Amino acid sequence: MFKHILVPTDGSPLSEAAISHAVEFAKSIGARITGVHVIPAFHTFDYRAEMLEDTRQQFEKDSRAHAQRFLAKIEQAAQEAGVECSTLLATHDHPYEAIIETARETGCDAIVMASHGRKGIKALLMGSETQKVLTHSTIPVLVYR
Amino acid sequence: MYRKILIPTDGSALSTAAAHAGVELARQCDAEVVGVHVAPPYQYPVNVEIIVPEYPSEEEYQAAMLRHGEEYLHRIREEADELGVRFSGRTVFADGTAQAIIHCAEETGCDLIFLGSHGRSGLGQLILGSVTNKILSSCRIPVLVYRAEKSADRH
Repeated sequence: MFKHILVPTDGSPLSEAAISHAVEFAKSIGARITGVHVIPAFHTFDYRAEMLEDTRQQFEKDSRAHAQRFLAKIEQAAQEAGVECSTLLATHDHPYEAIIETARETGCDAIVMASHGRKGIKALLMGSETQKVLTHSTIPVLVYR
Repeated sequence: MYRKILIPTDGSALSTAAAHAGVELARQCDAEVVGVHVAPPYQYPVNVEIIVPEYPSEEEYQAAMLRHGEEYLHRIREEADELGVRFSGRTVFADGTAQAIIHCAEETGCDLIFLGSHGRSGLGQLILGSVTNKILSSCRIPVLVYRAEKSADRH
């Protein structure tokens, strides 16, 4: 029924747990996975544009390196389990939008994500991005706690 | 990986469509299914001056609700039988539907709850059905939220 699962991660410990779960799940049903990490767009003020160019490049370089580390964890987990895996990076101010777009573009038929991410469980009953993905997704979403 | 999947149903078209998908997943996982229907408890007509003669007694009410529950669960049972998935179903009476569903999952040792994004409330009004929402808020095991397409509403 599910052949291609999208696994979004924000690098938080909770999303790491969700990754293991997603990999195990994919393995049990013979599905492949696509890991995705969304980095925010670089925002600039219109002041001394030439100076900002370096800042932007630096930001993008750092963000990518940072993100690659998260994605590498997914790749490693998948490889160890023998699950086919690809990963990608998206840039968007609203992670949920990028997540849903990625699911559509890559032909995923389910999303597995943690109930909470970076901000932790403290106050919220469910994380904001997970909530938004649930609201807008047209494919099933498995919420992992 | 999942050994036992809880599939709640409220008898609505969306709920039934989700149950159908849930049974398919159970087959893919080689898991068994526990179906549950939660009915509200009997309401004694305490606030009326005159009790309408046709008002059901508690036994009549419970019998009727159990019949409805069986009907909804039967739909899931049929699909499960067709796909060779082990199935057991029950109707429970409880005020807090979400809590009753979670309790049922814990009691029966389920490791996944599979349910529709919406049930009786339909797709139009709410971002997420109220029971689904509440289950997501307090459930400790994974919850798979299934979205039926609008065209699934066959009623």
